[in-house]
Amino acid sequence: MAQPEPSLYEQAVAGDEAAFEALVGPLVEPALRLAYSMLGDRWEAEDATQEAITRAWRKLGQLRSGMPVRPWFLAIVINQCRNMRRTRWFKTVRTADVFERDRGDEPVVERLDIARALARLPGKDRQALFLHFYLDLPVDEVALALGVSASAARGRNYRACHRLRPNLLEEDK
Amino acid sequence: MDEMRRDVSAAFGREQSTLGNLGGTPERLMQNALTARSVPNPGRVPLFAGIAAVLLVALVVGTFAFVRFGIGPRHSPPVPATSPRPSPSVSPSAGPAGLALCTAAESSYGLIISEGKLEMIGSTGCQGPKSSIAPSSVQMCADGLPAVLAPPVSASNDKVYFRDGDTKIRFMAPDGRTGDVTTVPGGPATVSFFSVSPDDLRIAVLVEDLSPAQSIGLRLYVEDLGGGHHSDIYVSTIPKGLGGLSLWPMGWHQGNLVLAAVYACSATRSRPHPSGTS
Repeated sequence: MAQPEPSLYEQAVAGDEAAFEALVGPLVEPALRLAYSMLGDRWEAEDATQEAITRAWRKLGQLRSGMPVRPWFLAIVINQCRNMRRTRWFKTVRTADVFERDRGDEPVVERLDIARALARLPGKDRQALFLHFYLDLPVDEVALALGVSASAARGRNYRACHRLRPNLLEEDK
Repeated sequence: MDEMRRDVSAAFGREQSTLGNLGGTPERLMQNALTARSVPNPGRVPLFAGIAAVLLVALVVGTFAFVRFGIGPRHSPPVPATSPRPSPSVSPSAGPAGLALCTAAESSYGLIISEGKLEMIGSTGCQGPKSSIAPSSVQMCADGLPAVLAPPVSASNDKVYFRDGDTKIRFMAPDGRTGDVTTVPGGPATVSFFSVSPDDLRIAVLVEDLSPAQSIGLRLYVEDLGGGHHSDIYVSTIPKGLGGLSLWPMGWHQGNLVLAAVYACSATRSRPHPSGTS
């Protein structure tokens, strides 16, 4: 009887670089964007992402069969970013002036308001919003990436939206 | 909720636009990571967390280390070995920060630049000499983009050299001696980065002229540390803005100058001012 063809995951676990690249490669750009959102510095984001890829390679055996790769890998990226923030030698001050250039039709003031409101969110809430609203991860994948239950992830998103809305309303007055 | 989703996504999108063009970055990161996967993890760079209100990057393996001032390159560079002179003036008592002062036996140092001071910190956490240091006038590159400022320090076999302000190059030795050495071009729109050879004989200087509206002039020269034998070895112009690659004379190796290619402008708009890093 013919052996079933090994999956990409199985090939990657067996040390096949091409399989690993096929598995993780498409996730590198969203990972880099997530890291940039957390760290606010492109070079640090690249460092974090690169280190996360290396760690993913080493931890591949811990990925349970059938578990989605995307939240698993993004969780590694998030942890790496947290580690970098803990040990970095300088502090990044996140301000709304990164959005000052007028790029669209949307009124500048409105964009600054939401940027400020986002900047004021706690990191975990911000990450939840980024994963769900910007990277379009479903809630269960957001939960896996953040290492919380689906209901907790849903609650975190709800709480973040609730925190954003009063801010926006307040600044609209 | 749809409106919230749209607004939040748009805000994140604007933030992500400051990331710049990713081009082949994901592929490069994958290749680098796969290359690095078999390299043993060297461990984290030690942070001297006990020093209140000071955050630093230090590479201390029998060396002086370079320090980033404001904005620096991604990785700490290799640095030449040093063998500090005996320091009879330094006693093994406690310094003002509660740290033991370094003894003559201290063989390696890291550097901290914070709150207008350059401090030598021994690899054992002891406190070495310190000197005042002023930042350069140049902080911005173009169009609101911060300039990438390479470390204003360079280590030879037994001294650390540093740029004090825009133009003055000074030295500090482990025994606390300091002095003026030479000057480099500098001013409101000109900044210089430099490296002194391990034998204290030559200095390489990269001068960035940021005065043109659309470009940055680069000039790399070497000369004797005391002046003389001046030679311009590279002159070029790069576009001002994201992606323009400048040079940083990061060190010397076997008589050759080692250069790093670094971005002249930071991709990140929200940059802390050096005075805000402590």
